Amino acid sequence: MTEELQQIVLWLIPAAPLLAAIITALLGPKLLRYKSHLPCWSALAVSFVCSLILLLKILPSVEQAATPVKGEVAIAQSAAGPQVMASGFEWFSVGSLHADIELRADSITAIMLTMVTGVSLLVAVFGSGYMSHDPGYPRFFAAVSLFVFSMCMLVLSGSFILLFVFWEAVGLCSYLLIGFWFQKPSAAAAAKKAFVVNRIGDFGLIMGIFLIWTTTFQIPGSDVLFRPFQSLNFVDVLGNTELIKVVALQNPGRIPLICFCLFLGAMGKSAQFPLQVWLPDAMEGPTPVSALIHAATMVTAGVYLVARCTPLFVMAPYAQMAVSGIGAATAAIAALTALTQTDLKRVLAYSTVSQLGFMFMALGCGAAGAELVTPAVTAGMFHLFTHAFFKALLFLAAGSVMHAMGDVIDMRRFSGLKHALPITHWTFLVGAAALAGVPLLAGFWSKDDILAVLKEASHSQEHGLYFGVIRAIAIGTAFLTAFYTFRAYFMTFWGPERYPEEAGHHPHEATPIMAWPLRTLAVCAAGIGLIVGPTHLFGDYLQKTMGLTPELEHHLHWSVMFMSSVIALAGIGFAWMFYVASPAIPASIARAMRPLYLISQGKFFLDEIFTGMIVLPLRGIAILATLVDKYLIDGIVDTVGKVPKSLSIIPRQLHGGVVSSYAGVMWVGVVAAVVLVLTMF
Amino acid sequence: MIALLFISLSIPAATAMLLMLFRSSLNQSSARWVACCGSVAALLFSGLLLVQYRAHVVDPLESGVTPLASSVDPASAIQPLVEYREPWLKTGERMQLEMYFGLDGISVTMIALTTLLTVCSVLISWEAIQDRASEFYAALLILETGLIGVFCSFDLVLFYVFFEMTLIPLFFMIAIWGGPERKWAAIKFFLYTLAGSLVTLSGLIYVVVYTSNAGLTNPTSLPALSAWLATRPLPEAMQMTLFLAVAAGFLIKVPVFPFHTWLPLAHVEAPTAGSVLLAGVLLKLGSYGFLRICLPLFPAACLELGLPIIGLLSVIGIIYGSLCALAQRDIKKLVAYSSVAHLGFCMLGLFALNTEGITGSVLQMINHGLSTGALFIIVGMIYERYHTRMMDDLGGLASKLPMIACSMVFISMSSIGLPGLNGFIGEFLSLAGMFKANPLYAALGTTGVVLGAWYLLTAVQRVFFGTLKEPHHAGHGDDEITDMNPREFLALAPLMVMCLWIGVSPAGLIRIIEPDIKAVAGLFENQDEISNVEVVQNNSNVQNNNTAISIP
Repeated sequence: MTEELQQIVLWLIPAAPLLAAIITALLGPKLLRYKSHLPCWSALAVSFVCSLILLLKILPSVEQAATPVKGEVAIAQSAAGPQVMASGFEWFSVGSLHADIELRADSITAIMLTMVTGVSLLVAVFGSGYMSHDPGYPRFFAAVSLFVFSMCMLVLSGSFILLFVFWEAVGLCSYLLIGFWFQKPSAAAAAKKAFVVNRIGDFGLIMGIFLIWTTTFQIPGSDVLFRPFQSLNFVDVLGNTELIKVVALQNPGRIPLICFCLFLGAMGKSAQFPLQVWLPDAMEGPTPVSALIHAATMVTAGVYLVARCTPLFVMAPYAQMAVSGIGAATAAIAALTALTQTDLKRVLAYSTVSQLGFMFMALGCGAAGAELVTPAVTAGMFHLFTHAFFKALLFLAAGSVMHAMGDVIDMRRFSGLKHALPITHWTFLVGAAALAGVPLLAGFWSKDDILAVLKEASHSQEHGLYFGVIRAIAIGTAFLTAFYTFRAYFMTFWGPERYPEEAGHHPHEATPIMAWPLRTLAVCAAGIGLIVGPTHLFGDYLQKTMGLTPELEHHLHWSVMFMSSVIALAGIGFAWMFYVASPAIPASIARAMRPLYLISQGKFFLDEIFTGMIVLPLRGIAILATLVDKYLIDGIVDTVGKVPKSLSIIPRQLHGGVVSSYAGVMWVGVVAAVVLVLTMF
Repeated sequence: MIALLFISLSIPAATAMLLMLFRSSLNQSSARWVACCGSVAALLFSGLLLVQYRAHVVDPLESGVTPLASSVDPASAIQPLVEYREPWLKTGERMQLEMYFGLDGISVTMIALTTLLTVCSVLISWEAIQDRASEFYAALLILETGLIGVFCSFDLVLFYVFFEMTLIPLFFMIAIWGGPERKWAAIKFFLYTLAGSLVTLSGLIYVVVYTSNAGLTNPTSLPALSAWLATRPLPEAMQMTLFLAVAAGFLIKVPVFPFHTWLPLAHVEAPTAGSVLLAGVLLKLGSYGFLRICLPLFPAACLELGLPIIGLLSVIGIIYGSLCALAQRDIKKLVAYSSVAHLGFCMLGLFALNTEGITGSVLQMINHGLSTGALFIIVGMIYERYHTRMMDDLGGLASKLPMIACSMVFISMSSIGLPGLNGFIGEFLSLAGMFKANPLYAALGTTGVVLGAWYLLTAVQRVFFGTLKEPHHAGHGDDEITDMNPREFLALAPLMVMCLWIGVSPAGLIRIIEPDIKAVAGLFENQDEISNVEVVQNNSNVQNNNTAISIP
């Protein structure tokens, strides 16, 4: 494939959805109306095909061709790994800050792109059925196209600045889509909350970028300061591990600080404790949006960022430990919260938060030893990959339930749907089993990898104890995952057949346009792990990314696999016992451990804590500020303004317009003049 | 090109004169058409000016024109590429005052911004101004003249004359066509800013007299003054005093915390057009004054006082302004306080005193003009429909006014610095520049980005989202509430297009202002430049000789 063709393919991946977004936004409301899905569908199909070409054809060919580097081909081998660049235009260039709009794809990008475009294509197909009667139909597809464009650009960015741009852009799309039904006050509030909480993370990201940009380095023995990172491009910052090592040695605090800042950004976008509060509320958006943005793609951007910045994190073991620790805390808290939620979508949302925590747990394991870095990142990214399929599937199936139940999603109000909704039932079951980690399904392999890495880390010399604790949390959370997932499954699909009145008398099964994406995703959720996991297709491909070292030997972790199978099946078994065999148990447990139950049901009261500790105090300070503004600052200004007036009191009295006083003053003046004249002589 | 400048400057003045002369025979409808034609003509000419200037400066060979070269002493930090100088007054033995009109990249873009916002202001006053329309538009156009005049003046006398000239028309606009508290607001605005600029004047007079005594023949010419002071800097103590004196007027004009209290009052009382021009351009006279006068003439004082003190005040302004905005219930007041915060970013970038920061600052001036101008226009549209600006009285308007709601979301995103729209680039560069100079200030300033999203999206949520809520009296009788009409669309659309354009491709704009900013920033960052050069040369060595570097 010629280089020009490569560039065109690369550009088509983001350009097609952008074009679709523009067309739908301009023509949608008046012309396309309920055909607005067509531009979106075709654009996403184009993107998906191009991503596949990139994944299967371009990058492998680049890798082969790269061995003898010659001429000015836009291929760089060496530390940067195989990569393809597509040049664009200069965005801005000021002083020593340069930003170009250009694309850069390497292995991790290709994997992310294929996953993003594939899942979004399926979600868009599902969405056209799900949204079919909504008056905002064109708006929905315009925003989804814009989102896919932004997400593709996010992973195709070759520099931190461009990454930040699209980091914010996906946030905008998330805002627009969470607030899609803006007439609902709760949706409007959730949209704002998501944007503002994400901005807290963005604050960290922007600080991290500034820190990278201003990092300086001094050649020992001379006064010359220079910048080790030529630009904010990934290749310049992350490509030369030796240089990072030198900086880390000379300025030990710098790299960890950068990593903490970047991780703060990741925490916002990937909903990690304590910034996870926005994600459950984001379920106010249409369900296809929850599946696409808030489960499969956007929320994994933080994981992608940390994985991408591995060369920096490697130099900051404490930052890595923080990544693992926060991940573990998030996973546990979210899983405990999910146990008692009754809103099906919220259970899935907390499960997303929890699974993201798993990914971060894995990513931080590099702190336990340099040889663990690559397996750790591979495990985290592999879980990201499989999670996208089964969680999108679960959300879409939940959407199908919601569609059938007349937009009711409270699990207490329906049950026994397996007869009425057979397709939804078995696809949900596949997704739930994959999430729970039932052997051979997608989630099993990736969770296994994570547990294996954690096991290795807990055996390390230095931080063995720390990672031992994290491993214990991970195992406990894995059990909880299986339990709450199947709790939701049994509550929804088993038991007596009950429908809410909103559903009418005959709940309708998903239409074919909704059923086919479900089936496709179910096949993926079942098989994709087995195909690319134990065969190491995924790992070998990913490890060509800059900063990772290809693993030479592969082995399956039989003991871990056995243990996690037992855990998954035990979780499912308990769920069956509690919610099918003897449904009285949960209530009695809830009574017995009422405080714990309330904490879980109250979502650990994090929303209330946030409101009490941050929102209300800030609002109070804001009101105080206006009072200070009005009475103190403006008061001083007005007082100063009165000074001339008060100074004029004496002269004003002299010019009071009273003739007798003028006469008096005149008399005094005359006398004084006379006296003066007399004394002069 | 200088002819184009004079045409752009004189069209509004001539139109204003026309409107005043025939004010008795012009009714509301004809007056607004005359004003519209005049402002559009000024916009066209200034647009042409911008295009021509760009062709001469950015890629002259491609456009087939001769590149412009500055005739100013290269030591000067102010390098107008187009100039018109006319001896004016000869006082004393050596002192030669001259009238010095000129153009550089910054002024040419600011002029274009002014004329664009004036057209929008005329369009938005179309129905809102019923009585004494002729006088209103005359005032508006005189204001435009004054603003253009400031941006093309390169001598202190002209600068100051135009600077003060802008006060009078705006005073009348607030005092006559304003809200219920208009008199008090107008007087406060006028006296407060005038008091400040008189202190500035005293500082300027001192500089002129001092340099004239020391042998400078044309001490009012800014380029000459700057070049002269570059080789013979004022004593440091004197710089400090003069810096503070000159800064007084500009600090109030910007306004920098704590000199901002006239602003919310003036905004709330001013008619929409007044608010648009006040926020859009008039406030920038302050930051422009810092850029043109304080930075080139008192560089040592800027480093000594500007960075620590004005930097700190800007940071406070960003956070404080955002918090005040958060607590407002009147949406126009909210936008007014947001201006305080946004201009905090502008000043933060300016007093970073490096290329990135100053570029960010100039871009922020333009961007704030566009997005806050547009915000005031939207607030005006809501007020015209519902006669209230209280957020408690409104809600869910998006279902009734979808176009206005879309524009509001768009402009809010631009205002809170979403990348891809204009606001981001100015904020990002300002903060980046400040991060280089003082990371703590930059970090504190960046919290304003979070707060900005909070207060503006809260306002959007309260006014446009949720269930529909309108004041009781709305929609009765013959004034049915309708969405944006074509005239309002014409007023808003250009601003939105510019927001998107600058956001997507700021490089074109940056290239126009780049040489001027380099000239100013060169006063402060010479050494920095050198080490940057070293980087380029050293890098290859370092990469190759990693092993050779011994780490202690």
